Amino acid sequence: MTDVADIHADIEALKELASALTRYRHAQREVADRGDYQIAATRASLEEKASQWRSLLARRQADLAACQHAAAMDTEAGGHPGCHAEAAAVREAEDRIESIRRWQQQVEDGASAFVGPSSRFRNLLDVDLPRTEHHLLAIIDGLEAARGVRAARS
Amino acid sequence: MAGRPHEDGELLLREIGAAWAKTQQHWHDDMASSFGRSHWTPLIDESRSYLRVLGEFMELLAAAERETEY
Repeated sequence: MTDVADIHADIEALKELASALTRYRHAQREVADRGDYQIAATRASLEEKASQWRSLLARRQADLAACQHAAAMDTEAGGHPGCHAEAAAVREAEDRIESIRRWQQQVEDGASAFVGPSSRFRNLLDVDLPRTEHHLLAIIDGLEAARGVRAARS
Repeated sequence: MAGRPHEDGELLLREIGAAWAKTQQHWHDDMASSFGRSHWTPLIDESRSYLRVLGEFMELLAAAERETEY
């Protein structure tokens, strides 16, 4: 003997799918938000690092200038150990800043390429998916009307 | 959800795929075929495409953080 629940199993399955789609829409929107947050966080982090290294570079350049000044004075007096360490520190800071700048450019290039897919996905979540859910609910209504059943919508 | 965004998104994609497979066990008329073509396939394709790009971008962001830790 066929149970009534078996006859309407498609309706119940469609209701479960509609609910799953709603959950999917909300959860994927959160995923997209977290992705966007991560982009902003990385941009801010790189800028902070660049700022720190620029400050460090300024201090190291000042140290090098002071060293070179002292060297010039000491040379007249008989000698100076040189400013190799100070010069190396300046070069290191310059290299770090240049490296960060290149990564910042890569991130911006990636962000530009990400805009299109991100926009399409958000449109899918905000426009297309609600339409799909409404379409499913209409199908459910149609099936229930055709069979003369009216189960509580989950 | 607490993992990396694209990994969580892929998990959600697998879950919704399982929900669709379960639905198909009970719903397989012409309307189901039409729904699959017009709604389901575009949804999955677009989701998969976005998550792939998101994953690649998240890898780039992680590398940018990692490679600038001095």
